[in-house]
Amino acid sequence: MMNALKIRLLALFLMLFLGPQLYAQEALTDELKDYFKKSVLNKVKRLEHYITLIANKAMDDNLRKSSISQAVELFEDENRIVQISSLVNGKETVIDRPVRTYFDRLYAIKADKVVITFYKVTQLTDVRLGPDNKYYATAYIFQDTKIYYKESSEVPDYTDVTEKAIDITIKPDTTLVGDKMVVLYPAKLGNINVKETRATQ
Amino acid sequence: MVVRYLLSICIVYGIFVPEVSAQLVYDWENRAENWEYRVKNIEFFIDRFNNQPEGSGSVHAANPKDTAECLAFMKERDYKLFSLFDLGKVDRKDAAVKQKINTFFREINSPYQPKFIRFEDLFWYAELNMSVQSGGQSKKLSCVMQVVNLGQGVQAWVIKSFHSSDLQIDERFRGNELYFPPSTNGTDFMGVRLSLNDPSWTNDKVAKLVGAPSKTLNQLVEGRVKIEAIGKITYHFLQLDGWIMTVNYVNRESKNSGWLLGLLQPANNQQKVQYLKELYAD
Repeated sequence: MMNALKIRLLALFLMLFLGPQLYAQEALTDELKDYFKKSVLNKVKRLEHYITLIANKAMDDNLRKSSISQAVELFEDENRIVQISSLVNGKETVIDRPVRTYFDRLYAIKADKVVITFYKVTQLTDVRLGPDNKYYATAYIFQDTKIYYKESSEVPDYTDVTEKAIDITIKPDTTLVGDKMVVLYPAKLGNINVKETRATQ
Repeated sequence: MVVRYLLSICIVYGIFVPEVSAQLVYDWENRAENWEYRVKNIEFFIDRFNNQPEGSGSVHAANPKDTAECLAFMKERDYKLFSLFDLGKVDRKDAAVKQKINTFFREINSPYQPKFIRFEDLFWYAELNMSVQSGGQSKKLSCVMQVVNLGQGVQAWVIKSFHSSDLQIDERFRGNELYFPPSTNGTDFMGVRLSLNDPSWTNDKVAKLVGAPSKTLNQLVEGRVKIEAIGKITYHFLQLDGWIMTVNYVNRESKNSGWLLGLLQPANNQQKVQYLKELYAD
């Protein structure tokens, strides 16, 4: 009885400390890559959903506010940087913002109406294993922003389309589910880089 | 074999018919579709160069015993290879340019020994031209990075050199201590800028660095230098036998945009060594 318990504890110890490492050192199969890609695309879609929701002043204010924390949770941590860009007289300005500040400012844009949409296709690079046993990739999104300073305006006062690149991290996480050790691969978002901003009409 | 070879030449030559190339560049006016076709990442450049789906990171050649499959692969690859050239820089009236590109296509897209490039290849480099703040002035600092394979499928981008005439810095790093995730190129090395400006990161690396202390890292730790921005990024591909390719980001509203081949030059090994020397000393 005691021996069995010791073996189980040893197995648990090995799985907890070596499990992710052992798994990470296995070949990155196409099946695993497909799984990662689906997981990443799901996270990116959720990010797009939250950006649209937080910016949309027609939505319930409490829902918009509570979405900020949910959006921040998509990221690896709050130290991640989101670049924002704006076009003034055709000149592009890019600023770094910590992730929570980015969402707070998105919520508080001084305008009656803000409409943010995303182009249907999100493109994703191959998934690669890094030195810290995390998997890495980059996703690309195409964001369309329209700002109306007055609700009655039919034509937006400010418009742009921005191409953004998102760092993606997948950290294998071993958890005990019932009596089985299961490796989970939660995808998290990292820094977001503005590739390009263009005016639209 | 001869027929295939001739067909290959015809396909390549066909691409140079002005109507065909014009169509390639200007047909697609829709911005979103331009965006979709744009080469957004150097990995997509590699995938397209190899005629593989973008984001696959794989390399599969056509079966050389299957003539139809082989020809279809070559035809499609010719088209994709051509789409990777910065057409704003290609002088289609210049016979020497046409000759060089045709030779390149024939060597790369050979039916029997097609040549591919891979992310994990040695001998391709990223050159980052950065502006830094030092002594209240904006100065230039260049950095050369390389993809290294650390075994068991682990890959990383590693800083291999810093060079700045303004700061009188010329440093090479033989080890792999200054590493970054393999995807850091995707966000234009933004993670490199943030890490170099982070004293805890630089302090940790200063302690781990093998060999002579780094003047650049020390100045970053002490706050005497701060990276303002990473400007122009250039990728240098030296792994193809007989060729050097230089890739830059081309920003324009066209399908022919993104990471594109700006410079293609024939080069033997000696010329490549010289090219590398100049790259590190740039």
